[in-house]
Amino acid sequence: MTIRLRDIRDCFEGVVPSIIATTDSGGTPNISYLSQVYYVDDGHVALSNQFFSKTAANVAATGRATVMVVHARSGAQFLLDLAFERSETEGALFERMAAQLRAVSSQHGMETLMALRSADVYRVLGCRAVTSAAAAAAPPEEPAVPPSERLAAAARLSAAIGAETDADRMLDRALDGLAEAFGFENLMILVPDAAGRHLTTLASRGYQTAGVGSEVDFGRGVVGIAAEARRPVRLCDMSRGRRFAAAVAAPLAGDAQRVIPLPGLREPMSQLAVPMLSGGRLRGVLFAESEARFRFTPEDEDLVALVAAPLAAALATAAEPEEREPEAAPPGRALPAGAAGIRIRYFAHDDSVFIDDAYLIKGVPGRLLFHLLETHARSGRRDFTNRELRVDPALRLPDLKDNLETRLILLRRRLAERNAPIQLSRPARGRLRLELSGQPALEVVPRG
Amino acid sequence: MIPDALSALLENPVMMVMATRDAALRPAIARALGCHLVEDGRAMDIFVSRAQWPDAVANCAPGAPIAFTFCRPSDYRTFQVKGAVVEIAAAAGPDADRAEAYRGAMAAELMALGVPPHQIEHWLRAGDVVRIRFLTHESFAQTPGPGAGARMGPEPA
Repeated sequence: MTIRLRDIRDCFEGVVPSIIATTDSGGTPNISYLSQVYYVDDGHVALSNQFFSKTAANVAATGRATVMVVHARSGAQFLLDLAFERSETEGALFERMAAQLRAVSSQHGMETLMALRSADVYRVLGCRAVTSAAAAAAPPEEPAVPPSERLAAAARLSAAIGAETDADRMLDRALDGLAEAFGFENLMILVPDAAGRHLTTLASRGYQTAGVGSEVDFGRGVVGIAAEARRPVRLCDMSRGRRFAAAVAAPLAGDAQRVIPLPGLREPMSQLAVPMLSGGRLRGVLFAESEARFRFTPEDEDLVALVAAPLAAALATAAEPEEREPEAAPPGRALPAGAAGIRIRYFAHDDSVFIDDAYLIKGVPGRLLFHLLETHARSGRRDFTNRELRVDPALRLPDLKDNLETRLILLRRRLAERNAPIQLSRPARGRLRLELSGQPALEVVPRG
Repeated sequence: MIPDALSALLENPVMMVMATRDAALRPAIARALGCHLVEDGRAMDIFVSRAQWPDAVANCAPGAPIAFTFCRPSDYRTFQVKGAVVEIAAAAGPDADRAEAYRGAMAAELMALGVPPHQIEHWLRAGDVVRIRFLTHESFAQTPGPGAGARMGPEPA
């Protein structure tokens, strides 16, 4: 009896190595291990062509292969009779496989060895189970909630995110919704910098510290690879891999005090990173992880993508110049009498800001904060509009107009997380206000 | 001949798979339950459950080509040996003991690597175990990476 591939999707997660047998034209067999067989549809699988060159040569000669795949949870084995159909060197399937391979191989410290040459697509002529005394043992667990209900929950959450008028609240709505509707305990939303070199944590759930402002390099770890490839990346069993912590951007020498630790599980077993795309641009990465193996299914990947879409759209919209006039703001509170001073040090070389000797943030958010404080020191102003910040030449923001809003969210959340004596509030739409619990004393450390 | 590096690796519990093919050149796969070098490594016995892998074993007539690959699960060191079947017989006496010893050692090794026992049951099933003896013609390094596929000794004289 032929088994439907969709019923054994756990075999295509790359957890237990697969095996491929071929023959050359003279009939000499060849047998080789294979890191992963990819599910394409019920009638097709794809194999990664990396370096099993004898296999590739044999397939070129005969067009046939026999593959054994192993169910990741139960260990059950299945034999697939395959007929070669085509090689793909670009496109969605190729990109997805390349990103997945990079994520898996980066766990093993083999990034450079594992480049994907092509995605080879095979027609499945037959699929049968290998008999086993253990056949009845440990059937895969079915999800407690039927797929249709989970889809409906994702659609509702997606709509709720879209109904929010404010990017800041959308982030919270998305994270709370993912936790409530799907039980995802550990979540992060990260946004890229303008240069596409780092991703910065904008919001998180389920960690001891929120880690707002912490960074991950593009191309490193599940998050960095999903960002670079703009494809979802999902790992089901990291027991043999390296810790995600290795993916944290390595600080430059002497810069350690300017690094915010990335939140993250010490020993994740499952990770899922879904890129947030809108208008053809990467707006962020939605990341979930768990200490449980096989926590995220292909279906979870789709559900998270449904939630990532309106978030990406919201961040894209927030990046557009505000057309409406800012609303009128109520007057702010006066500085309390006898309040202590706040010592601010600003380092021009990396735009880092220290408040009372504690590192706060660097880069654009640091530059923004110092600009607000400097303006306040000069004129006494505490109220600002997003619009004036966008066009202020002093901020040198031409390349950053598009992500001013996310940088302001980042700055506001970082100040709140640190419980700093300076907070940023939003008294009305399109407006910002410095909330000071003391008089700032500014010191600039010029470039060395 | 089996180069020394290979016979040394075979001293460890390593995962073993083999391939044969039918008259239409359709490949068949089996897992092996241990091996044993004979005639100074010019030939090799491997043990396979005919109950679990009927197709691969059915192809094992004398003279039939065979490929045998083994891999150490802790570091993925992998080698492939190719040759021709000499004979096939039920695994009895010391051969049956070798297959049993392999199953015990391999299961312990996999469990030490964190593989749950219910999975291992699928992979190391016994049942109508046969001994397949084949002449070892060629061996290849298959460890994933740029060196995969390289032909191994014997050193040229």
